[in-house]
Amino acid sequence: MEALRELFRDYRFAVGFVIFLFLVVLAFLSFASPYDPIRQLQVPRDRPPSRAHILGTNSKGQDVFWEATFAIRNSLIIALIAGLVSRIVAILVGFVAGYRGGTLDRVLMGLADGLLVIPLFLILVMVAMLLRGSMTLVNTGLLLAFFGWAWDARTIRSQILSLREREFTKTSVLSGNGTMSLVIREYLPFTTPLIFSTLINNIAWAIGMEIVLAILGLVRLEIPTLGTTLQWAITYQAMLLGHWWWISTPVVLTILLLVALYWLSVSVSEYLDPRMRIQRIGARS
Amino acid sequence: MLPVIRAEDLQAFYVLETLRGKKVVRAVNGVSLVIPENTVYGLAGESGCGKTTLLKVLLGNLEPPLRHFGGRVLYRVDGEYLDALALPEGKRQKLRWTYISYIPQGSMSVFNPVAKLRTTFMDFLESHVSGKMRQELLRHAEEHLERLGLSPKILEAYPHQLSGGMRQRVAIALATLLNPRVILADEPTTALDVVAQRAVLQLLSDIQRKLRNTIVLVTHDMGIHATVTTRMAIMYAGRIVEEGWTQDIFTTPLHPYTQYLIRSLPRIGDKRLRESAPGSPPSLAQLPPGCPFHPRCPLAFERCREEVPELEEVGEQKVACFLRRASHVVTS
Amino acid sequence: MSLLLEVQNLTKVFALGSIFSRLRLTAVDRVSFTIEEGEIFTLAGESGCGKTTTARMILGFEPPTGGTIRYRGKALEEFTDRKSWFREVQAVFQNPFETFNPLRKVESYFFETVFNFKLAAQKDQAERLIEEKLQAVGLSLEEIEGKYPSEFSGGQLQRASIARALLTNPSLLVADEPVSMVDASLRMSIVNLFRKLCDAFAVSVLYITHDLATAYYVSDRIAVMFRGNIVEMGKVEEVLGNPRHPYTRLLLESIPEPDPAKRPEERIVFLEEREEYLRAGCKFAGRCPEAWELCGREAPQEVEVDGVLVRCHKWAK
Ligand SMILES: Nc1ncnc2c1ncn2[C@@H]1O[C@H](COP(=O)(O)OP(=O)(O)O)[C@@H](O)[C@H]1O
Ligand SMILES: Nc1ncnc2c1ncn2[C@@H]1O[C@H](COP(=O)(O)OP(=O)(O)O)[C@@H](O)[C@H]1O
Ligand code: SF4
Ligand SMILES: [Mg+2]
Ligand SMILES: [Mg+2]
Repeated sequence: MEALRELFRDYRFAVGFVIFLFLVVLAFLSFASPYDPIRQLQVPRDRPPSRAHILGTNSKGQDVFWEATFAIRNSLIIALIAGLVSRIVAILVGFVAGYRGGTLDRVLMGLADGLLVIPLFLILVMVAMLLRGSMTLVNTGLLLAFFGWAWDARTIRSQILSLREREFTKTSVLSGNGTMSLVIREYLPFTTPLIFSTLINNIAWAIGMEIVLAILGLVRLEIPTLGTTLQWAITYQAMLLGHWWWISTPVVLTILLLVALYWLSVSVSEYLDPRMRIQRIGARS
Repeated sequence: MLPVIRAEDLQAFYVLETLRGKKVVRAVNGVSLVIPENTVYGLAGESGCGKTTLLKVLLGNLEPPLRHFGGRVLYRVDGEYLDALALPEGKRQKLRWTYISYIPQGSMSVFNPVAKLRTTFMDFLESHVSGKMRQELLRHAEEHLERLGLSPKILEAYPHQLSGGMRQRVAIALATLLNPRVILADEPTTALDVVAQRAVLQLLSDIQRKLRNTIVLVTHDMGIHATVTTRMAIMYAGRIVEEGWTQDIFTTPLHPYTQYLIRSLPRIGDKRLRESAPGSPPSLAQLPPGCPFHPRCPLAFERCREEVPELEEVGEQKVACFLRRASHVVTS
Repeated sequence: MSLLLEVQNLTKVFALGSIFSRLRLTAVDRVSFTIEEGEIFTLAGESGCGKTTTARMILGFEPPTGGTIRYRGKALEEFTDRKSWFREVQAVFQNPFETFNPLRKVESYFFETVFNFKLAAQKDQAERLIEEKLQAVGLSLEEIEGKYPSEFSGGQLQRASIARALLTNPSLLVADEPVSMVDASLRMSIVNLFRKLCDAFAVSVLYITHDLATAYYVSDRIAVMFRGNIVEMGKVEEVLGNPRHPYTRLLLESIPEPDPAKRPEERIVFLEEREEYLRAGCKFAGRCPEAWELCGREAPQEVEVDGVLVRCHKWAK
């Protein structure tokens, strides 16, 4: 709680948090939606915002506001799956490679480097094309996760490598700690800021990638996400026809989401930075 | 002996904003010093007593959170006294390295870790010497190293390739390139083994003898003061508690703290028990009332707990203790 | 007195540079010594002579290239898990500010040691045990509770580090330069502590240092090491009172004498360690005032002179 109170002193955190909270509330509103997100022609088409439809309706005969609540929910689900799964892989690979070293390290880092040097975007597009029919939320999330761990695993590994040489590692071993508790007790506090900021960055990246894949038509377009909403608006030439409410909704939501994530990431990683933490400890005495 | 630097009742504190309000660390708390020319002047005291801070103030290097609260620092430049803390920034920059130079604690920070030493030396010379060709400057650096008994080949090395002792000696060479009148050396021997220490001290004495300038040598190791300094001051909790000729201080230490420092030194051939001063130094943010040493002093009496003793002359020495005489806290 | 630790022909070779390079550095070269029960044994020498590498091998942090380490007759490899070794052999390190993780409370290492080694079952039992060890070094649980390393002085941290090492009631404490980063004014209080632990709890100490003055003060026997070899070993009064090896003499002369009337006159030669390690013959020949032609050609063997082992051609004659 002390931590939260201090974080809220940072205006970036406060603003980021409020925006994010607002988007999450929107996502949850989807459960109260009076409309089915997939069915078309449920309402009159192409109406500008009004009392009945606060963000208007689109050319498919859907309410833009309620569609947007589904879109943001689904985009967040994809991004969270991608972010969490790739974090778990990155942490496991980074910790094991860094602490064990030797052949295992070389194999794991070889894999990571392999993923890093191939033109990631092309491969992603190719795989998505192959799997097109089965690109559900979960699969899209997993696909993005598969490509999102390599760089961060490398960063975590190099941090572990330098921590391993520090003297307190030996104190911990002499205190009878096994590898697992050593890594969790001694190293995790140093890597959490990194893990946190890469988690937030990775979520932002996944949201962006999903939009790109959707615009290329490589995901299941009937599932509303920020990407598919944008894709439909483009297909129906919403811009040309002056249906600004339709196209600007996903754009504004995406920008809000990315800005909120950026500010959260910056302030959280500053707060967790070991140097800052040591300073705070120093200020207590 | 004319002074090169005079400090008059200097006060400089770190002012820190914390969650629980303002915290004031009284690192230099009323220091007066006369540092004569052509000597090695020692400054002793345990870590955290304010030695590095005092050097920063003598150098005129006051950056937040360190703030100047009173007193003056006078440099004697060409027979005239300059108030160092009142000088305009440009003027002070000019005196830096030519009049006064500084070897910071932990020599690694002086060098660029990814560049050859030659680059560091050339960058330094180019930014401080105008109107000379690169070739001339390089020759100057090489000749300087040779004069100090170091091989000019060292310029081709990277900092991490040198041992701690060698790196420290190169840092000293760098700080003396422009023949400064005063060299402030902050713990140049700490973290070195005894052999490397000897090599560094040898170099410092050589430089002092050649340039006939002043070296202010900061170290908590009394053995080193005994080996190279002529005069010395003992610092405790931001104050000078004793000052005088090194010889006198070692034969008749007046302050109880100094007595502990000297009598606790182990000597080969003597296995009798040696005791450090009991307890640990006070926090400079929460000084005890009265003499700052009184909580650790076995001789403390009523007055020590209430009044702060001033630094006063006793014969040729100065001491800040109400006893004002060599009373033995530790026998040896 | 009985034999506690026996080190025989301990050797460590490091490959320098890349894996393809041929350059080998023998950081520790066939080092043998023993430590008796209840004894303080000093391993002395300037930096880069292999002291830390020796300590790391004894602690099992570094596999030796050759040689054996035995504890009460049982070889290190026979201790199947590290924990049973650390129950007997504990360590204190050089830099008190690096000994504990700056992001963790100091007390956590105490409780972890107690519970990992099953020294107590309940919290209050653990606290009693911890309090006892902290008292032995002049601290108390109250003083360290809830605090992070940055809230202590170097001397306090070094005491805490010793107290933690004592929790398992080890018979041997390996102390790698335990006072070189501690303030000179507090140094003796730590050194005295080793003497006290040795006398009161019969803990043997492997005291590693470059400072012969404290070595003389605190230890019973001493081995002087130079570039991987032990060059002189024996009773401390004998070795330091009447040094035979020229290197021991150099180390003794390098101690800053706490007496301004006796300033050193002689100048010392200072060579970089790498070049000395790779030397043929006696590794000290480059700096030795008494070296002659044989010293540059042939490595000297150990000889015993009046109960002291010396590795120098001058004494082999
Ligand atoms: N940048 C800083 N900010 C706050 N406090 C500082 C800073 N630098 C030093 N101090 C405090 O000032 C006191 C004196 O420090 P210092 O001059 O470095 O002592 P010494 O060199 O004698 O070890 C110490 O208590 C230290 O914690
Ligand atoms: N991991 C390592 N790889 C290569 N060389 C090493 C390694 N550890 C130590 N050395 C070398 O071994 C020698 C002895 O080092 P060390 O045992 O640390 O000496 P000391 O503790 O006496 O200062 C030094 O030359 C050092 O550079
Ligand atoms: S003034 Fe008093 S307390 Fe301070 S050193 Fe002297 S006798 Fe001790
Ligand atoms: Mg300092
Ligand atoms: Mg070492």
